[in-house]
Amino acid sequence: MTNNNKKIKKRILVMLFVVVGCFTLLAGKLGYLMLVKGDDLKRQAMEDQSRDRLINAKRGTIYDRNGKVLAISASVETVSISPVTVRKDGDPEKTAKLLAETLGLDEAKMLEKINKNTSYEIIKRKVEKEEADKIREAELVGVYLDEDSKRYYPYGNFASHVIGFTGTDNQGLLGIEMVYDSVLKGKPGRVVTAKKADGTEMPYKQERYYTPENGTDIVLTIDQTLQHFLEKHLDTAVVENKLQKGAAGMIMDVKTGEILAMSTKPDFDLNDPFTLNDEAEKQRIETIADKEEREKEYNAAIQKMWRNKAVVDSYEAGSTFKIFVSAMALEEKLVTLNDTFYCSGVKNVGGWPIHCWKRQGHGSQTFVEALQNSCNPAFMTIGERIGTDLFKKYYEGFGFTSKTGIELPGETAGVFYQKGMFNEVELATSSFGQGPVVTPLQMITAAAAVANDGYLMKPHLVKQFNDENGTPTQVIEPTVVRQIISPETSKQLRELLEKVVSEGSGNRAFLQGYHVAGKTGTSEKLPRGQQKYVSSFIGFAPANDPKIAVLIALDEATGGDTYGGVIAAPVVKKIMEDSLRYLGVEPDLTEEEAAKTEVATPDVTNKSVDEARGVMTTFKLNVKVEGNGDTVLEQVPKGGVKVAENSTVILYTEKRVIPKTTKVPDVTGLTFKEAEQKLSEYGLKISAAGDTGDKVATKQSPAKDEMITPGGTVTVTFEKKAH
Amino acid sequence: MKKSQAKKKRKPVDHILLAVLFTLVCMGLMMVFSASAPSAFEEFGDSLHYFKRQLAWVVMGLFVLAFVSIVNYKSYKNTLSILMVLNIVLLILVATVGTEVKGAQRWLGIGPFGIQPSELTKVVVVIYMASYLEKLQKQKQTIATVYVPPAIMVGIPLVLIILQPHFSAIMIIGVVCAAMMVVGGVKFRFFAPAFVAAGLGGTALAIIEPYRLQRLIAFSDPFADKLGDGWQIVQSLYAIGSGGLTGLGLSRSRQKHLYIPEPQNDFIYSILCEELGYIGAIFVIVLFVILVWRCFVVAARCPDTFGSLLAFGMGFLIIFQVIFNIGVATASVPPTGVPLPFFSAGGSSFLFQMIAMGIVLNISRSAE
Repeated sequence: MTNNNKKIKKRILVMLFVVVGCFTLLAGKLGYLMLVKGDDLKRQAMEDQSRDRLINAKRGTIYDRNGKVLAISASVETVSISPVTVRKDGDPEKTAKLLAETLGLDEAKMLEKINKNTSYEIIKRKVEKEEADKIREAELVGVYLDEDSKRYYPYGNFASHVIGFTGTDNQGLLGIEMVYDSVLKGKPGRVVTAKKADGTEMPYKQERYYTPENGTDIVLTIDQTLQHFLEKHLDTAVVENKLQKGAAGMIMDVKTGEILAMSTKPDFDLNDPFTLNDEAEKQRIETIADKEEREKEYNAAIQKMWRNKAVVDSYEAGSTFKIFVSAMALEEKLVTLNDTFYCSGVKNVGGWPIHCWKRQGHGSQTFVEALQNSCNPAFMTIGERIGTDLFKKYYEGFGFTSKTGIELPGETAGVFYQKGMFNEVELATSSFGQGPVVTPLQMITAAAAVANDGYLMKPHLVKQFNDENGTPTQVIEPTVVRQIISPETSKQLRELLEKVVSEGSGNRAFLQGYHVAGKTGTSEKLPRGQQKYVSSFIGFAPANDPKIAVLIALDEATGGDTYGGVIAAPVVKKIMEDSLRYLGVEPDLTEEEAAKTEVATPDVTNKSVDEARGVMTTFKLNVKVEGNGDTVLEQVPKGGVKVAENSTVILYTEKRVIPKTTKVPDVTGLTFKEAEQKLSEYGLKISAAGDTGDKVATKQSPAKDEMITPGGTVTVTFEKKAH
Repeated sequence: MKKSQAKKKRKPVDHILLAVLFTLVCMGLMMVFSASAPSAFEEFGDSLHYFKRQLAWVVMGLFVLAFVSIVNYKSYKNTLSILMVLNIVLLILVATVGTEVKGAQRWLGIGPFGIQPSELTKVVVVIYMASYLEKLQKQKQTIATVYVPPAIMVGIPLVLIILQPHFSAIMIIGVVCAAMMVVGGVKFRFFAPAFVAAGLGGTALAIIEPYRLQRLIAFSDPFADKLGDGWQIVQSLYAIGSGGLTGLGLSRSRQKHLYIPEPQNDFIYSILCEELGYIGAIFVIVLFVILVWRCFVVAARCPDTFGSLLAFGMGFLIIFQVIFNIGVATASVPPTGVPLPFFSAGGSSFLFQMIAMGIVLNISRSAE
């Protein structure tokens, strides 16, 4: 071997090392790209390679505390296309025509969309199943159908400000729907389709389906029945008193802080929340010439319609505030029940004469009487004894300076004097309720604390969260914010406030046997001197063991009276009466009272009309005779039913034909719950045939639109859902 | 005695080299099928379009390999002048009647199969360099003896290739020549002016044709212009990264679906990474390392300088293209269209790779 060849060998070896070195570097770079950065690059590549279609999760249902459905989502579909796929592999003309015809869209616009250079275009949302099926059957290439949901509110206007509603993207826009949007909406699923670089689908199916996570159901503390009572009586009050600015009302469970009912009037239909329902306002806006101005006004009006007065609007507490001044004074032992106060109709504070609402004065009165009379000078004197510091301490303690934290949007915290602005005169006026500006919710929460042994409860609307199987995932327990007065003071106040109703200014809220306690309030709206008032009444019952608190605030009554004791107290009385009966609270009547007021109807059937009249008179009952016969064939109420004295008993002397006045609604396609709900709205009963679980109604008897007697029964057959 | 007897009998070729070569060719054919199927379907409606053509080339290539492996390598010294003339004639033909593809005139159409004469140039230049360097062993190294002969004999075909233009072929030929000169014992002081010349030449090219500079910029940060100059590299990196450790599985590449242009050509290794993962990628690299190891062993064992340099040159010619191709795919070097030997679809390049390997195999028979 030559010397040269040895050298060459050596150099070849060096070159081999160089080459192996290069490969080592490349292997390192490959390792970095594939093992370290691999996931990241893969994810980026997938984003480029895939076309996503979102599948909306089923939004959680909202129930009342007894499981009645207040808001529910039904399945609809979203139609989308992949324009490049339609152009390449499909039939653009046919696709445009069919989509336009089925969905009621413009064919030219449809073609325009198909000619877009994108790989995903939404054609229409919230398409009902029948239309979607038509498109599905046509088997168009590049056209996709995905599940979506639409929100239904079975009760329409019911508790509209509390429940709230959703927008086009199923996002909550008001009330519980807004506050718990993230909980209700769940997690949307996705369909990822692999696509080629030109946007068309990969030749083999590479579709991945990520199941949506359905939203959480919410059970409210609202009781549908109590809400119904509240709304019924509030509606009446709005009309009777010609309220200019509507009304707000609430029923609260005194012991837990649960809101059992909350209503703002006027309300709106949750199924159609974007339409202004105030006709006069609508006409006014339509006459505005400037388009921009008109839209602005319309939006403002809509916002006003959506405003939940119960938590957003604050008002001057007025005389209802005397409850809390009394609480402060009694708790701090600054007054006794028998302390006497003299009212001349005016009291000078800081050089200013401040008048009583009763200009001629109340004269000499005990503390108990002063509260019953709602006497301003007496409370000014009590305020003096309390002083600004203690007053402020309690004012804050009752929660008037902070938001309650209720699960509703836009809650406000009321207004009180700025630091250093709360002096002698302000203390005096505040002592009878002029000055403190609070929200209805703050008022009822504080009043409930007075009734509840001094424990201020955190008001809340959500009772529990359930997963889609109805299993509770979270139960909201009552929360004590703080104890503000002692149970003894609470007891004293309960008795005092019961007297306000039974003997004092609140007597129009008196309800035999139910021990309603409460306080009236009439506050002049600011700025003063416009003769505009908020008339309110806050009450709770039964006074000896309070269960519910009811607050009514009527805004700008123009029907004559404006005094809270005159117009708000009767509303509370009616609500209390319905609610307490519904809640099974036994009226606590002495035997004498009971005997005095109630009688059992005698059975007079088969007696002659004259004889029957005689019997009824002796029972202090009135008679109304229907028909021309001589003999009583039937009576309403029947014999043995307890009724109030001077009630009327109807005597029928002819065979009674009950008119068929109720039209049967269509319940097919509904679940048992929904069907029951719907029928009950029509005052009808349901009789289910077949197993009802996870089934839908397929048949009903009588059929829809048939007329039957009110209160009749509809037999509904349930069968397995057809998919 | 025994030894002399053995010398008379034809010695077998290097088994390891042959085995590795077959493995690579088979894998290459498989990858051409997998990578080209979607674009073949897209263009011709036949997923097997490129595969069938490649299969034909492979069959032809194997015959060529067998034939070349029995042709005594020493005979090339005698036919070298004929080969060089043929090469120049073909290059002139390309310049005059060649087919223009994507702005470059590199192909000479013969029936349905086109050939790239620059591939022939690569092989001829290696033979020439081996022959010239063998002579240099006995000469004093001066500017005249070191520079002048290759400047003429290699320079003329290179100028013709610049006219096409085919930058990557020039670079490959230049680097292979340099490597062979190093191994052939050219003193290091002669390399300095060569580097300066290469640098100046590169700068001149960048100024004359600015698209090269843009490619360089795209190489340093391909994601900066993902949809423009960086597109190919980004898509290649996506493919490689998607492979992970074990890959998406053979034929499961997503990036070959029109994301990577001509996935059966220069970026076939990216598709291989995507489908076979890091394990597959390293397996191929190991095969190539064994290949170059065997080629260099054959070179080292060859008793004469011409054979040594020839085997080294052929081995280096193949392996440098492998390194450069993978370097481009992984964004390690500026993007240049260099095919991956035995893998990338393409007839003439495969044919000349077979010729190169056939020559090495033949030299392996002469091992001591």
